[in-house]
Amino acid sequence: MRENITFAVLFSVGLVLLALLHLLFSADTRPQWVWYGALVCGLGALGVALRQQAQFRRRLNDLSTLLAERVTVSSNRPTDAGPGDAFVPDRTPLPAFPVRKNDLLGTVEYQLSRLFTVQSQHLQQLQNEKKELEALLHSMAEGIVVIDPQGNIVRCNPAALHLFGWNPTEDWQGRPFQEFSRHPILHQLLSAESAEGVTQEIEVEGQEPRQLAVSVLRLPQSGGYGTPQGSQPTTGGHVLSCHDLTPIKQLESIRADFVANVSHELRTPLTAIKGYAETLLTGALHDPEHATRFLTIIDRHSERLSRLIDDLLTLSNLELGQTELHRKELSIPELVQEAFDMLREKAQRGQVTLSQHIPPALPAVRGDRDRLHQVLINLIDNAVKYTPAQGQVTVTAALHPAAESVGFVESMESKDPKDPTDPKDARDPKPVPNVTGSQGWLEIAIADTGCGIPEADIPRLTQRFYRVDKARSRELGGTGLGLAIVKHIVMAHNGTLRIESQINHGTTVRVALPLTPPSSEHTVQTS
Amino acid sequence: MPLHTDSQYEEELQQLRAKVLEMGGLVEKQIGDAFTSFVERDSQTAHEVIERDHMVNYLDVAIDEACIRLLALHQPAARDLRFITTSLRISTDLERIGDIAENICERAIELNQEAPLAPRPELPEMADGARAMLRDSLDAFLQSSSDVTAAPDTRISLGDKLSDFVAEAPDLALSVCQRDDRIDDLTAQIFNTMLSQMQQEPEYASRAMRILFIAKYLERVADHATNIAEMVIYLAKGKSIRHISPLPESV
Repeated sequence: MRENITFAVLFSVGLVLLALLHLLFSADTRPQWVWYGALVCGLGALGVALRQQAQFRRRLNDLSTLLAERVTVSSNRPTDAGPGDAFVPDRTPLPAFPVRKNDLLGTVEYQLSRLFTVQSQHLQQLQNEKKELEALLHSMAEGIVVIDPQGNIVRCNPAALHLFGWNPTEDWQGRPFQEFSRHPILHQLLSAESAEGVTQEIEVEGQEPRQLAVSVLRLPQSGGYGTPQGSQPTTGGHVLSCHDLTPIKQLESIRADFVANVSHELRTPLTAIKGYAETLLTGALHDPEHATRFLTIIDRHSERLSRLIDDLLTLSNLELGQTELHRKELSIPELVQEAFDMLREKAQRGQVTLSQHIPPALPAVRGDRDRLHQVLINLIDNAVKYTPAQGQVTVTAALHPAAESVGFVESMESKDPKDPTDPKDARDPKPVPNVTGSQGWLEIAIADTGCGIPEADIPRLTQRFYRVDKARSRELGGTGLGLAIVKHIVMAHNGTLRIESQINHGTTVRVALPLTPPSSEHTVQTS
Repeated sequence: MPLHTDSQYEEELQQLRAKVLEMGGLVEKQIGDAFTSFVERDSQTAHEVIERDHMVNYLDVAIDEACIRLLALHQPAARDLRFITTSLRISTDLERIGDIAENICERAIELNQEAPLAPRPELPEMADGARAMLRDSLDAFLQSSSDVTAAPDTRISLGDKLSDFVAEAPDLALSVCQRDDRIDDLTAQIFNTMLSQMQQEPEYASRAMRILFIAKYLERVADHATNIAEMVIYLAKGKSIRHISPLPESV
């Protein structure tokens, strides 16, 4: 600014001097000093102009160097962190713009620096959004694969790797999708002809076969990835999203099995009742001998039906965790005695001897009286049912110190307590820490000398409606739910159930109950 | 592997590979569905498989055309030439497997019209074995051809990893060839069982014959898978191991 004024003043002084010279003096009297004055002014103005120009050039040069530097730095700065990499933000400051002069060039510098600030803010914002989206993609349960128009994978989240059973360590980026899956339905979905938004179910083979629901979204061409090589791509790529249906399908088949089982079990007694009732109606009613027999049969089957429904309700409540346990201090010998009293008549009918070997000084167990009573009834009733005449059913009880609890807890947590684990666990106590806080376990063993259970069937015994010998157990009046109920009650008491059996030698069912169960649990989550 | 300077050529090679893999995937599904339709006595699925065979045929023709075009326009040499000729032959084998899937379905439909025979445990083992061979031979093709057609930037970024990937292919292919004997043994076993059954109970003859056919078809699938694996070894190593017995320990 100052240079401009100096220049203007010198220039105009020079001009004025020249004009004065011309107006005031005739050609021959013009004084020499005015000439010199004008010359000095002119040279001064020239010097100022040259200096200013040099300065201007220098600043322009600085500015362009600075610009070049900034562009290089920001283009080299990593804007993208791979999905697995930790994002390391680049904190080296960009060269700042000097805002020096309040002139034209200064304005340009100022505007440029504003532009860069705004741009870097936008860039930062975009990067944040990108990171958010990436985090979103990473945490999704649904698998997402982004595929470019050439069929190469651009992006892929961990869920997709998991669902398709791909090796997560493999480098999938930029590789053709077909290298990972040749499934024809997937290919059909990705081909141009298929309709968008169609969901297809596919089965993925591999170590873990899965059923997936897959749908494809086509990206608009402008948003496409990669550069089209040669021919123009028809789409901007695809987004493949897949959803795991495996658990739903499994649940569906369990439900279907259950409904089939229940209806079968309900229909069996119902068919008998209906058949005999019809026979009675068509005339047998007036035949007293037959009528009584038929009515007895009808009565027996309706009893079985009601027992079945009771059992189903009990089981359903236990499974829903809606059963409240009314815990009290219970004496086990007393409970066993009560169960024996109820079943003695039945045992005598089948000529089975009931006996118990229970040490008199057993500590009390905290538990729900009615439920534990049901456990003992179910187990002893089973034992009596499957033991032939002259057989024996023996109930014993023993105390196990807390140190052995780990073995029991493990089998309970695996939700497979019926697994015939090696009884070694119970025999040699290991010095392991007590994990449940209980003071030990009370084990009740119900042993019979019955027909035994094949080893292959033991793991499935506590499944609803599972029967080892289908014809026989129905004949004996079982509902197929007894052991399932036992398992749920025992688990609700934080106990464990183990079944050991030898064909033709007998079966031993061991129920272990913790002596001091965690007092806080009154409502029990069993499922 | 040098880059192809001609991007059109590069693109066409990629498309060819994609088509072969697509056909492979389709044929895998065809043979899987065909056997399922036989085991589950599901004529509906069998008809669907027969319907779909035209897609296999279409791809076969498309691959043929693509190969001829590449050969005629670009006069490829060395690795590329082997890749194209291999694709040509693999598509033929795949097309045959597609036809076999169709045949299995036809037999399955015929068998479904009669009472079932006792299941033969060898058949599922054969089917699983043959399908695994087909899958592995296609995987080996995929691996061994991944450097021919990898996009340039991928090729640079993957570097050694890609060459390791390629290097594994011949071993996988060789393992396919070695498994063929087991399938042949199972076929012989079924043949004997069915023969004695036909002699004892002539009324089962028509069904036993069809089951025998299916066993034979599965054996053919394994043979075609072996052919594919042999071609993959040729593609990777430039060496032919066809008609060599016993098979070499390594390639």
